[in-house]
Amino acid sequence: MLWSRRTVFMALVVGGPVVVAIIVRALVGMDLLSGRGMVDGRPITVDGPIIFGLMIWGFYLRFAVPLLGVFYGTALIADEVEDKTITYLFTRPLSRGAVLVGKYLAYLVSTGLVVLPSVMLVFFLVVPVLGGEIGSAFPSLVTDLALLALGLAVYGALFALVGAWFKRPLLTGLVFIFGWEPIVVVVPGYMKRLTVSYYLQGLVPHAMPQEGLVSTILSILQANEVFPSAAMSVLGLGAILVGGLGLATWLVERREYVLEQ
Amino acid sequence: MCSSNEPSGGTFTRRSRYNLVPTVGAASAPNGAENLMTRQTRFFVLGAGGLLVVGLCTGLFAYVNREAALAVSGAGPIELRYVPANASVVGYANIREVMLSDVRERIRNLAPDGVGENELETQLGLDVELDIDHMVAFLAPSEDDRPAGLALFRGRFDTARLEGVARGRGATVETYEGKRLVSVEAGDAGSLAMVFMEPGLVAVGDLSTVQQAISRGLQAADVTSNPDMMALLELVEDDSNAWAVGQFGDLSALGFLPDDVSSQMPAVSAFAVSGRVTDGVTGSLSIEGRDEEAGQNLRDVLRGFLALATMQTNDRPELQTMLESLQLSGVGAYATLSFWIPSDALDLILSSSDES
Repeated sequence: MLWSRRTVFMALVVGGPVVVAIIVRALVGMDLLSGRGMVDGRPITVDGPIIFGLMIWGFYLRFAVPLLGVFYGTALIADEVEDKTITYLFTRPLSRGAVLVGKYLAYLVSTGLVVLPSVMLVFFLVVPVLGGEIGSAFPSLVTDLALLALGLAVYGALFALVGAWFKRPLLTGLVFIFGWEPIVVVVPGYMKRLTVSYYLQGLVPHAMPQEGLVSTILSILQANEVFPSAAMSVLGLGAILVGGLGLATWLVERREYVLEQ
Repeated sequence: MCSSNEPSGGTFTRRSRYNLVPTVGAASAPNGAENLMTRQTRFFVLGAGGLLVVGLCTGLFAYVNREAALAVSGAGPIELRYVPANASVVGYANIREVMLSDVRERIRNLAPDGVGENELETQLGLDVELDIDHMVAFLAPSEDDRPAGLALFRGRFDTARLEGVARGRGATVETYEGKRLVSVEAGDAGSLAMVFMEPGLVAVGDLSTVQQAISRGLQAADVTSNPDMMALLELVEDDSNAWAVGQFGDLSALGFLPDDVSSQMPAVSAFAVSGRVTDGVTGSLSIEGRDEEAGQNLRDVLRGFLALATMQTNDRPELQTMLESLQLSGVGAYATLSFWIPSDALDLILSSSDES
């Protein structure tokens, strides 16, 4: 899994924020970025932790985590079917469900060991600029890391189910994260409860710095959104994780995968 | 389900890895490939895991050793060594956090011209939002009528410009115990002085207090040697970005409290107030009575005040959240009131103060 072609893609996805962080650091070092500006006629000042919070929000939670979940989660079973190697796995003396859970755990370790160090690099590159302090921002880093790990776990479980169920899981997954979720989350009503991002983003404000600019930007981004409480978010994510992985296991145990000759 | 095609992806990339056959001629190649992959994976896991662990340890170290709003168990902010042991009131504010807070934005909306910071920047080259990190201030009894007061600002300062501006306003610059001391006569306020205590630390106050602070910085007698004040610091919330502690007995000695006010609070001996300013204000106020009976009376008074406030705001839903957040607690001689002023209630309070 780790040394597949997707690794190049994954490196690009998680390397992008690191490059952006290096650019931010360089711009600040050359006094080309002051962290001061105007929003709606109001002067605003941003510092390193605020930039880090925005990068976590924009680069990782909104983009990298769902995308990695789709690419790797759907591949857990679908790739084995497509590459006609699933026979080798299913003829092993262990249950099919155990195979899937093992591959899911490998997915968690692989993506976690790529995404989380990337976040760590971004943290140490960005947070100290413009007067930010690493020590003060450390609790938010821990929260963000936990949130990203939770996101990877939930999206992975959901797309493991998609991979075990649908014939074209990658396309289905991409439609889900770039079509269904962004649209439904901003539509009034109860449909947003059928998304992962609704519950995941419900936890984000607890992880984001509570400074003025962030609040302003979040209020713009979340103008029509009513997020659940933290407890509700955790419950929802837990249900998706357990339900997704359980259903995927159940499906893999009972389904006969016919390989095209 | 079996296929004769060579697998090209998935979990495994070579069929030989599924069914390793230890034949004489073919055994070495698959094993070599497997070892290579294992080594790469091992290096990756060790590298990524090591990066995570090192990062977390570094962050944790920085967190534990950060310059906290209040270092309760230690000596407190480093500027406390300039505060005299007999200080009656000591306060701290993390200017940078407060200036970046949403509360500050709301105040700025009400006072677009600022509250003097533009003038500070023009006159002294001092940008309050960027140049000052935090401040420590204190009041202490003095021999004359006025209390001795000093404010210590930690940040980044253009010392040459500050001195130049002060000179332009008639100040004199002298060297006092090795420090550059800028002083100016301010009429009834007496002599005001500013001194660069150390790189990044400016003290402003009356001349004699500043001189004493310089001397105190070179010696060991400071407020950290006062057990009563340090015990009050224990009451301050750890994550607060502004706090103040004081002893009422000494406050009366300061001479600025009216006698009728002093006589109305004979049972109170000390207080500690701390808060965290973000998009709202959270904090707590702890009051220490002279004895347990006084503590019980204080709690009763505060309980009555809460009940009255609740009755008065039944038709003010915007204040209900704030009142519901008020929590009264305390044992023995202490009464503690914790509070949370949400942004909506803050808007109301600020707009009311603006109208008045």
